[in-house]
Amino acid sequence: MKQFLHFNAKTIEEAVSLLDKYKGKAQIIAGGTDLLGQLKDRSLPTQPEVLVNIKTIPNLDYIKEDAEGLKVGALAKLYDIATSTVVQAKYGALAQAARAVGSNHLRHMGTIGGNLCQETRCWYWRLPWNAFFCLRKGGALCNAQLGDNRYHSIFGGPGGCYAASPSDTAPALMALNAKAKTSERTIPLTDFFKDTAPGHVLGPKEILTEIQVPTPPADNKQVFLKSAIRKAIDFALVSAAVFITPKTGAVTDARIALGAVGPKPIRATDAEAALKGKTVTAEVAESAAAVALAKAVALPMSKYKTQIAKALVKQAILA
Amino acid sequence: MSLVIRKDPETGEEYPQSVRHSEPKLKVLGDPNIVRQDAHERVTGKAKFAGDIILPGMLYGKVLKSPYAHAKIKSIDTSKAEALPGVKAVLTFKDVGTYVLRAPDHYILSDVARYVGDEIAAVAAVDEDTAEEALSLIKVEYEKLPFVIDGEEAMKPDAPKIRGESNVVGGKPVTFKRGDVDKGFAEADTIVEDKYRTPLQQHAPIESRTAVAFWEGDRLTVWGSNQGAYGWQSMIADALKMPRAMVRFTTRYSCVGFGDKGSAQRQGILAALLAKKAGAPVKIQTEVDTNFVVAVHRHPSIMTIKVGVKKDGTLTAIKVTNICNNGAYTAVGASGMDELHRWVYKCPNLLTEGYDVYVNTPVSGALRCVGHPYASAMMEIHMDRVAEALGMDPYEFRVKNGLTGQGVGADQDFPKMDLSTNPHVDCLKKGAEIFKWKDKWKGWKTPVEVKGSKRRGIGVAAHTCRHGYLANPMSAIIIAKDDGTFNLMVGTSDPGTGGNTAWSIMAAEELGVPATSVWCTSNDTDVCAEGVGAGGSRTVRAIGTAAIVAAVDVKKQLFTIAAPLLKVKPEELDAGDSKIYVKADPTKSLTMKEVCARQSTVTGPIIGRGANATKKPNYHSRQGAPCFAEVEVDIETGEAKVLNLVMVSDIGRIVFYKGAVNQVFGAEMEALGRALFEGQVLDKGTGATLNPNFLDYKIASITDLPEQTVDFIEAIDPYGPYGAKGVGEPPDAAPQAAIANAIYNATGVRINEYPITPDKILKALGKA
Repeated sequence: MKQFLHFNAKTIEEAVSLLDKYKGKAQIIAGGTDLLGQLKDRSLPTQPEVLVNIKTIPNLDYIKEDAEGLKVGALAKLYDIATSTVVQAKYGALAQAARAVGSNHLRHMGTIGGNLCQETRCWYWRLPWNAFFCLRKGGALCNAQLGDNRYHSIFGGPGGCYAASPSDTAPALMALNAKAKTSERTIPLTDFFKDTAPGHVLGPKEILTEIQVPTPPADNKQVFLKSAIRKAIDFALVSAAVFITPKTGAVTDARIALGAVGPKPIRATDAEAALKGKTVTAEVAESAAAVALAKAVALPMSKYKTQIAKALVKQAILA
Repeated sequence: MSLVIRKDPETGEEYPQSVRHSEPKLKVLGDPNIVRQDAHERVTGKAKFAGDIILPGMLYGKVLKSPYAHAKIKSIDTSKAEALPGVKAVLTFKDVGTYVLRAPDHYILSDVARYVGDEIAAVAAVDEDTAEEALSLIKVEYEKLPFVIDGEEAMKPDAPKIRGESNVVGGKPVTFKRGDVDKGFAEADTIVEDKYRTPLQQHAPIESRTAVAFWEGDRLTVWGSNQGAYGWQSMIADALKMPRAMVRFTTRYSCVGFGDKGSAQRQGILAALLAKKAGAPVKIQTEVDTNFVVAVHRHPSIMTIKVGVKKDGTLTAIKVTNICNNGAYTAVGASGMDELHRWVYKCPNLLTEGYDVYVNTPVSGALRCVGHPYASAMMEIHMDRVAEALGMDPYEFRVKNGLTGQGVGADQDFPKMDLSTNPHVDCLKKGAEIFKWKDKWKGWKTPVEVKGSKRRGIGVAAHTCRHGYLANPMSAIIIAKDDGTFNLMVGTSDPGTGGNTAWSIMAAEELGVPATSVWCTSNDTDVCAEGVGAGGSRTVRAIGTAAIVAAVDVKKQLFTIAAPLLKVKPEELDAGDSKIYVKADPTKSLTMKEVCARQSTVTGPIIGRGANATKKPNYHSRQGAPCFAEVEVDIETGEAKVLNLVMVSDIGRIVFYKGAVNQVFGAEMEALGRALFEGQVLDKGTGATLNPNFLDYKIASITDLPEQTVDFIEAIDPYGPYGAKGVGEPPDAAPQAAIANAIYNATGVRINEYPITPDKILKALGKA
């Protein structure tokens, strides 16, 4: 690993000022389960010169509920979220998604902020020693587009990159209508992600500080499903989160989000609209799933992911 | 107990071959309560592996790998790396000689790279980061050459050549012929033919290739990830042109042998050369991603199988053509597969043609056997199809056609060979009972259960092979301690198999002491006796025999000491319950401690010596290891989950019970991963390995494991010590096809290429 300066920030302000001071050469580190792998592998052509550790910022790992809903500090561990009775009670899809991440060890290390801000797992992007200087890194082309793209996008290459978004909690939170609070602003989580590197819209000195989930109507159904090759320590081939209210009868509101289907997690708004006003049946679920994937444009080796996505949306609606 | 004098059926030559009890009253062997000698150290992480060695002033070595699949080095400039503060030594092909690790031209470092990851330079520096930085400062000018990574492509006349005229090793296939397959196919009522593929597979070790080298004057000490001290000692001594006595190799702990750690690892030679040049100890601990390319792999294979069968299910002909990727350098691959095709089924006509092919990929080699597991994975799918073509129950088909019989004349190809045991059909029958095959099987294309999108299916695969060869040179020393305990010293590694414990159990049984009274000191060339490495599931038999012979030698000395004290002749004595007693009157006895203690005051050291016979006997003892599997498949997501595996293995006499059970559990876990998840993916455009890590190269995790039933048949092998055979390799084969066949039963679609991942299942179902 290339050597770097390491600062233990005590406040958000201090972390922001360090990012500002070492403009473009510094990176935030929290759980480190993604970043340290990248650094050890030297995946990128250049390595950060400074790491700003935010684990040392006190009281940023809370999981609490108030009149507006759930508030989760960016440093909350995935393990704590998955096992929180508060989260399990009303925000079950988030608990399920947090539980689906990695392994017990990784959930004890990894934070919700890191799970949302992690970089792609595209193997061309990740390969040690910058073996492929791909489009996402500033190169000329997406190596996955013509190469082995079995784990890649099924919604084309918006922005030119055909990677698949890695976060499990992102679709769950998007289905729960969550917002991201940063050191500068509060935005809907749906607007937090982008198709190009680094996968999120945070500015050069902006830090994600809190996830806010509005209290859902009491009568709701929320489900997170993940399809992966291995049952643990694996990223999703496809993940799907569905939120429907009310639980039975005609649907008044629905949100469907998909992970690992494109460079960023997406909302299947057409499918959501297709569900509204209908009572859920196998046929309704099947047709909503078909609508959700209607615009899919798979790569030669990623076609099967379209089928998996359809199956997960259907199974989640019917769950 | 006696040493058995064997007569070679062909030459008539007599030699002490083996050791056995005619009527064994075993006290230690097979005791299910015996725990591995170093279990606690291993599971708590306290055991010291080569990577745990840290010496004062030690440097860290790193190796530069080729980014190109095939390239000639036009120039290499190491001056910037050498100038980097903290760098103490740099080596290139110019510095390391032409010692050949692997035929024909796999040098320690080379000026031609033949796969992405081929090693071309090495550095040693004060820490890993500096060494890594130095690698980035080595300037190499490459002349890129055309490359080929697919075996079939490589056989085409116009394919790029890895070297020489032909990419086929030896220029022609390795063939085996029995009878006349053309005649056999003419006699067949039904012929089934198809083509199958297995991918490049990895050992996926927790301990990557590691070496630490330390010079004291002209004497070198090396620790390393290994399967045998003496293999490392001779490799390094030969490469450095040193007398073997001047090289000490010592490492008790190693893990995930399976073959790679038994192959030539240049890391040991490089560490020694770097340490010599730098004048300080050097450790090379291969990074995980590097290990994925520089370690040996299981051969990727393309197998075309044609089988002829009569209406009643009798096989008339089997023809197998196999294209076996060797990687860029030679390793036997295809020649291993014909054994499987010769041994499992009885069939009068057989033709196997195996092409070992050079390609610009990482090297293939031993991985829990060479040849049987991949051949079984494909052949056992095919035999299912043959049974289906006849409408026969696939279990009944295997029972009908499985080769049975034993003794001289039972082998189909070598009539003079003594096939001492051959119980795989018995294993199949016992397995079917445990699995309740006959209750579960509902017929072809009929899943055993349908629930929503989930389909449950069952499958079976037969398997037999021969592992635990007896003719490997091994020796053992046993020294007595004054308190009546013993050290067994063997120059071979226990790479996680439980060997140390198993060998000690056999010595303890012979010495008449509990297992806890024998400690195995293994794998130090300064202390332990010579032996070949652990591999081929051989150590229980080969070291076991040597240990028993050494124990007999110890007992002889003990009896000589005890006889005058007990006022009898030595031959009137026996050992048991930690005593030396008079056979005719066991109340007359001395404790082991009383007898042993006299070595320090009266007799001098009690040292027993033993060797395994090195003469090759004309016999085979086959082991059965068939498997039954139950799998659930979601036909909408393509996910397959193994629910149940049943294996009844024959390993001869069970020596170390817990160790044997764990070997089968581990083999099943490994095979499950190979059936469903594993495959090294190479980028077609560059030949680079895309998944050189434990996330993207997916071995089974504990959550993927099903209910497992492990049971045994003890077909006592008269040639093996106490009737034992090897255990490590046989159970690694059959679970793959059993799982594949269960997926077929569940889904109605055949997948001819491993691993059977959701993309393939959905594609076969017409959904992707």
